[in-house]
Amino acid sequence: MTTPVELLNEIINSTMPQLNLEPEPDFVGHISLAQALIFFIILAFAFILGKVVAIYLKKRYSHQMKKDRLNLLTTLVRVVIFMAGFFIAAPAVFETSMLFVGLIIAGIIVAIAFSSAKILTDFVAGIALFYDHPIRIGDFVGIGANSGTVEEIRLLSTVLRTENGVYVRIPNDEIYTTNVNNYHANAARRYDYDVGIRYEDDVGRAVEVLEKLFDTYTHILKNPPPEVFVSSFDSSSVQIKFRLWLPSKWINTIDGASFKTRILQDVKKTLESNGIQIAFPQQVVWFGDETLRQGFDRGHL
Amino acid sequence: MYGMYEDQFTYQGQDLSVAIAGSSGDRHYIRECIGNRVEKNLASDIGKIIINPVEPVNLPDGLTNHLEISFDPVVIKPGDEQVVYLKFPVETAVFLESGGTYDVLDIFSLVSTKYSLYGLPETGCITKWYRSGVYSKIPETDSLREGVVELKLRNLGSVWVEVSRTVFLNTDMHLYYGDIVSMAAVMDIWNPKLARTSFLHRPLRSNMTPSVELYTARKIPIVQQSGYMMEQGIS
Repeated sequence: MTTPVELLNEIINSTMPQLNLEPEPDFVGHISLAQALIFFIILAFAFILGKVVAIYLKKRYSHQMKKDRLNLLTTLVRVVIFMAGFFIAAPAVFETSMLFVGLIIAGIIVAIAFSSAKILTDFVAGIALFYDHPIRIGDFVGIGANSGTVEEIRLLSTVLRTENGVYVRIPNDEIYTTNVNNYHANAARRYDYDVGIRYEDDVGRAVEVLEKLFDTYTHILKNPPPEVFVSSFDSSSVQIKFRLWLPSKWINTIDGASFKTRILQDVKKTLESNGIQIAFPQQVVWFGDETLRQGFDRGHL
Repeated sequence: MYGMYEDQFTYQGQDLSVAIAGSSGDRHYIRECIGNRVEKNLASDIGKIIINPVEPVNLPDGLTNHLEISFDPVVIKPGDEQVVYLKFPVETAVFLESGGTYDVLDIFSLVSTKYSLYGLPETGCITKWYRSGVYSKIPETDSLREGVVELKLRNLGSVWVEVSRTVFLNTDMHLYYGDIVSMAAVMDIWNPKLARTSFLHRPLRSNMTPSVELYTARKIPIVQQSGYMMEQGIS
């Protein structure tokens, strides 16, 4: 049975025999122009086949797999198909040039091992991230000193877009070996705030008006409900703590950021409109004679 | 207000005004809903205008695909089934129809709602939350604000259950409009932690029109699924 390589050889022999003029043997063997052409045709075929398979996989699994995992999978499949094409093409075409193929492979391994071992570790980390998936495209994450939205997860690196619009490329190895805070991993996140009111203000009333205020916000979750309670008695104020649960995917949007800047302002306004004042640091100083006078006034002395 | 219109359309009500005005090539869409005004220029010729209620989970920012309705507890004995009517918030969409395709021009609602979390932060999901009374017959509603869902509660388990909330998935919803806005749903309950909700293609009254739903209009492919599995409790 005629192999595709032999068939291509026959076509070239019958149409362009001049390409098959064998050069003098050298250390890589006999490579004619026709053989080189066949080699590149097979590589091109493997490349196109990889692309077609990737498109098929994306169409077939786009509704069942997360985009980042699917991207990584299709990239891996394309690499594997291309490598398979290379290993089929090389020995079949360069019949007497296995030494040449061996040298290329050895060269690649040596290049990776000595000149850029980091690439290999990033690649392995990329594969590990594929299975571990601590982050996904669209997640808001903190990785080391960087935080931002994951734009792309590649085989060697991951791209973040920070809140101020900066493009940050982080090697996968770094992601795998450092702490990753994923702010989107859970559906909701809790935000804690404190506000101090004066001792003479009605604490119960303050709690009540704050609960009513929080109920008017669409994004403050109904469940878990907001918690509003007295957390401590400070030197100048009664501290009221409130804990609010918000949708994780919303809080890092523009609307979410604006909420964070607005909530304390609304709390102050609401408390003040209900006759409750935010406390400020103050100290009552008693002088000796005043103490004496007040003691007399109270009938202690 | 709901229905299909040719070319021009005007609705003026309390808290809401919607209009498509102007002549061909210079048409404007103007909508004002509780002080929130939207204006759009329609440069191309438009076909039909369809205004109808859609899956009520899109506003204000489409964070969820789930609608959660909370209600006073209903207790059901094993093997029994009970039909209750609940209210849900209405969201209205304006579609432009041309050659059998629908494009969403606007979505608005007269009802302000809240988001909630169904389940735990790590395993649960964000829902659009609404509080409803429990009715034994179809309640009166303002169809621009609230719709009615007929919910058949079926206790398939072997213990008494208390139900006080239901969670629906938007891709499964089938809305109808007429003098009311309606949906019909079933909630199969296996135990106090596990139930499944699904919708029926059925209007609650005669002469109701099926809505053009957003999932249909946007041609979003849906992996065939039947309902939503409530795995985080029913009360």
